[in-house]
Amino acid sequence: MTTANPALSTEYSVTDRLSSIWKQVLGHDSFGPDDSFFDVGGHSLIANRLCLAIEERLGVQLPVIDIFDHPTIKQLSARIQQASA
Amino acid sequence: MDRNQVRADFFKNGFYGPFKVYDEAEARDMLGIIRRQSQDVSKAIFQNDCNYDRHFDIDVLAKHISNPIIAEHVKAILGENLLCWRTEYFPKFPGSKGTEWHQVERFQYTTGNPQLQPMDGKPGDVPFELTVWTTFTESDIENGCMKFLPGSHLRKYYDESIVPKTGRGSSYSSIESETSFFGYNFSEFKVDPNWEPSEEDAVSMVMRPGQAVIFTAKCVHGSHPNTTKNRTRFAITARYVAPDVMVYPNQHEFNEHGGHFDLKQYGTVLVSGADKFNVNRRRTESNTGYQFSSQG
Repeated sequence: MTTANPALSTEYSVTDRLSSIWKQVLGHDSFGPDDSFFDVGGHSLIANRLCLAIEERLGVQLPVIDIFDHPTIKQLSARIQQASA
Repeated sequence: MDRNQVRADFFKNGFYGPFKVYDEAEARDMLGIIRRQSQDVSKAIFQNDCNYDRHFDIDVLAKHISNPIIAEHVKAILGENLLCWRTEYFPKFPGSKGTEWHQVERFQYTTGNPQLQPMDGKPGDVPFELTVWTTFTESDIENGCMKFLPGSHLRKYYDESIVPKTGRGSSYSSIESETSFFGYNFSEFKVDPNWEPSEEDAVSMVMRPGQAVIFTAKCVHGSHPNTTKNRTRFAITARYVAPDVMVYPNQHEFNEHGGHFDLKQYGTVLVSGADKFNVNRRRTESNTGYQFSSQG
């Protein structure tokens, strides 16, 4: 995968990295790629923390509303790759 | 719907349900919309974190309060003429405490001033308000479903006029609270401090997304804790009265559950029949221009 963002250009996929971020922010890893962040314990305060962690670890700045529009790992990964292109 | 069965069950138990309002897929879609649109409070009538009355700025909720299935169930009990006087969010996040047992009639516990008052002055034996609690996620014993004490609406176990030590004037956050009743300790309102509700007699209301339960707040109710680590429970209530009940009588603002409520944009919404009493502020349109609809 080639991308303009060096933070995303490793063999460790965006989806895997995002799962790790979700685990850190939610405090558990009981979710799948199609689960909504808000169904598995997320809420608006934690959504802010999620955005900060994404920016810190993936170098991509997303508004919080993007979490609501792309609430699953699959959807958010696609959004992150779109935002970093 | 069997109106006679709804009435019989309700007047015996204090609640009726669960019954289906939406298909599960539709309920999940609605929840996604509600969550997203709740982030924008620019058109909300109250500027606080409590998410009361978001039907005035979220069209999906404006439509929900007049849902015909809900209206038919409420009419079976309260009659043809109905005002919706409040909607509220009830999320229960993984790890959250259960909501402690409580019993409410005039919604007086928060401030000491009744928020509901029948025109003829004194509440009688027949409940004059109803709550319809609709879940948009699964709601079961593990993730914090509601529970009721059947028949408890016929007796006063809690006295809302008691002045509590906790809650009034306090800050509160639904996400961070240590109390068992949204910033209050409802046990402080018990008529008999030594009385304990019987958990053995309790009915747990296990529900699927899109189902609702209808109850009078006079029926002692509460919820289980959410003991899961990954299943949020999310429900929304719509509360109804007949037009001869005064809502927020002589009040222009109040503080409760950590929020300040300025009533200048507030109004009840006629969802069925007619209002011949005109004792309440009423609104026919939301802040987005949505025209509230009325059945019949």
